[in-house]
Amino acid sequence: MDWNECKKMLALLHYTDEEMEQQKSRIQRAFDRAKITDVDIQAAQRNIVHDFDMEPARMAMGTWMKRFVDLMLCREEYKKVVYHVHPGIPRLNLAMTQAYPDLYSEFCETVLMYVFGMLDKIQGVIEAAEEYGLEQTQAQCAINQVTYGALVTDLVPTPDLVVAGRYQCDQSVKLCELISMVKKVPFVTFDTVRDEPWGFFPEVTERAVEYFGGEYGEALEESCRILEIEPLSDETWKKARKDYVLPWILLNDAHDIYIKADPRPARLSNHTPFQFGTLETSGRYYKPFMDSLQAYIKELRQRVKDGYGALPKGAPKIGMMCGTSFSMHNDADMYEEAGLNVVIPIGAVWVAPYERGEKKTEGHLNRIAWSYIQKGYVRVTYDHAYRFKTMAEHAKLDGVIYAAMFSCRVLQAGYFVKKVVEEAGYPAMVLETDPVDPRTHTADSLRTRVEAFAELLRARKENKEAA
Amino acid sequence: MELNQNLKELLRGRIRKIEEAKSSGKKVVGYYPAEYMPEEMVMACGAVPLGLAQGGDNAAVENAGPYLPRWLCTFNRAQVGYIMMKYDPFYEIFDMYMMTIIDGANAYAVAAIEGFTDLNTFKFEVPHHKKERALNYFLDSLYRYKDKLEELTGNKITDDGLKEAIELCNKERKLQREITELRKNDSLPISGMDYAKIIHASYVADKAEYVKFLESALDELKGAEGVKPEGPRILLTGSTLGAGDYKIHRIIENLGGDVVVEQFCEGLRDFWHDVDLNGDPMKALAERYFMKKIAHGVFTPAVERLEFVADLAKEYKADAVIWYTPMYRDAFDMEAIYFPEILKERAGLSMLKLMTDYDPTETGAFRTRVEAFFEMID
Repeated sequence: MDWNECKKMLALLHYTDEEMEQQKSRIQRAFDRAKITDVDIQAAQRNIVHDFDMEPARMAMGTWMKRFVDLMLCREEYKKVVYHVHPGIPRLNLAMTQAYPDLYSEFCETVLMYVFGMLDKIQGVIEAAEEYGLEQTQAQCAINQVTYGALVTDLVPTPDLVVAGRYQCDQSVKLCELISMVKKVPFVTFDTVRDEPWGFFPEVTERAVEYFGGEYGEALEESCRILEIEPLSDETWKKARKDYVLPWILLNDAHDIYIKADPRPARLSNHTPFQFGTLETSGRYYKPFMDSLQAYIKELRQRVKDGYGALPKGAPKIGMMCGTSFSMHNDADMYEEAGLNVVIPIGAVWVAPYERGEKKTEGHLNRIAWSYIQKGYVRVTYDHAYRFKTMAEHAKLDGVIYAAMFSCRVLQAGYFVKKVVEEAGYPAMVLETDPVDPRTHTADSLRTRVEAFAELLRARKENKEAA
Repeated sequence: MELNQNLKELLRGRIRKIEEAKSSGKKVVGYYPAEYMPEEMVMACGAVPLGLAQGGDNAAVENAGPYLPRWLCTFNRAQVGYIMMKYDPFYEIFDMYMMTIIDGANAYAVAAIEGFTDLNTFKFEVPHHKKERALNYFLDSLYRYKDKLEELTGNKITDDGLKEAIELCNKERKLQREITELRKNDSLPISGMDYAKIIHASYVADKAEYVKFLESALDELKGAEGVKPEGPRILLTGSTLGAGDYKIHRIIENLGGDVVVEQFCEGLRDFWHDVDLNGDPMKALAERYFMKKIAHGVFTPAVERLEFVADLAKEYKADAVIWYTPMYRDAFDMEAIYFPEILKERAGLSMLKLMTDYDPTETGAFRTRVEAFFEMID
């Protein structure tokens, strides 16, 4: 590996000269383990320059690179290693990384999706998963394929424990079991059940909350027993819960800026590193990530003040599922080239008004359960559609695009979303994409449909204004 | 065989009889066939239970297209398709559709039925591991279901009524087990396809008449000389075997083999355990339908079911296992990665995995693969 080229890439990601020198040996070992070549590094340089024209976005990608180096070396640098299978309970990851200095806790697939996505290397990991039995053609989602592919090929170290919850889909839990069988490591999962009728959401039943909270508590106890660590104290939980909320508030500020600003102050792709950085934040790089997020918002505000426009004024505003991508570097551009202003790119990380109130339940585990259920992704059905309807009303959107992730068990509610959103008076379109697997589509294969939808939204907007 | 004729008689005019029952004020409860819905409760309030387990029809799958993405389990898409198409009278005749949510695929099918139709529906989700908390949740769901049934029919579900229904269903299960056990013999008294048709009939037939049919079928099969298959004895397993989805049976039988035993989580009745007649019948139903029942493939740990399947293969002297599942059933697909190792260890057998989208064009490829598999294990 050409260290000078690597340094150029790291400099783009806001590594300081001092950091590069100090970390040189670690970075080289991590890159060796991941078989990162000069070609990959050159691809990353191109992608960073192409995707992120705002420095705070590059800073945030720098935190992902640091998480990646840690992931590659975790076995030699930490006593115990635990992987949370996406989507997991990110608050737990945050609490663990804050409370136990000897314990490595991470969402390995998310780290790989960002960094290997940037290096144009993710396809190899997905294909490895397929070679070992986890086939895309059998609706195995690319996120789980990344976890499995990375583990069966020893790209990432074998952990001491894998943890997953069933609240979004069955795949992550069954993946835990599969990893356990193949890699001979213990696994802990927690169950959830939801059976409220269509139209019930955003109400939440105590029955579902108590089951989720109870299951989660038991899984925590079991995890601590396997990892031979003391249970998390109330103080640790309190701090983790508080720290977890802060980036969400900031990210929502960013959404509000995009909702209100006209013209749009920044290109969509800049938003990418912050979404999962907020969703699956880590205690180890909490401060630099928060710094990057604060800098992002500051720059957005300045751009609004300066009247800077990444798109012409009056571009139709839309909310999306999967509006940005880890590995499809032209997707975000395609929406913007069609003239669409994607103000909320991933519905999951937007905070809906109904999520903000006090949770009417006892104990922090139940409150966490309540929060997740109210996100609208637990056994997703009507909840998901209601979320998009609320989003359209709240942000006064011109339309919604539901870019379903191919083979995802959660993001397959496109037709429900379309029905409910259209009934509320907003145009909606369902697309089949994949933010992780670069083989499923190209931006150009979707372009005609997106352009036609954009045309419809513009005409509708003009008619509305004329009326 | 007289049995086949009797089966035809049993099902002939069934839809008309259900219509007559409806005209006389009885309610019909259609249900998703994942074996977590106690028919006993429906019977105890004087309603007609109707298992909706059709499968194998590609048109039904295609008709689910406007409501569900293509990467959702074929059987579940088909259920939505049958309801939307309105060409199968069994899928139109019910007064309430009862859906037990088992996994994500099934949850979406249920949501499509709720969101895109005006049908009267009731649902509860089945927890995914056998723990006390899960059992309590399941029991609580049964009580909610009881309230719903009483509201639908206007009849109270009493302990005595439940016990009477349990007795009849236990009798049905015992007879089904006894018929199944005859297939341990070297000479098979019944082909795999005919057997599957008998079990599938239990979803739509009148329970008392079906039990009488099973009694006569058992007598006939006990006295039958049987046929020793020229080819391998197969254990057929997977997520779902819909009624009418007999493509795989035809292929196996045409190649000289036969299915000697099956284990499916949906679409083929689970009769291995009875309901305890002592004590509180609601608790006994929860105990039987949740704790005793062979866990669905989406449960963790999966080992209980997979070991049961491997042991079943040994017990029924299977020569090999065919894993036959509708496409996009992700949880089962993951288990199929490591099940061959368990199967090899416990029963010393090999496995072939086939995934169906109920597409007629699959048949040729399936036949080639099964033929090659038979040659390999010969």
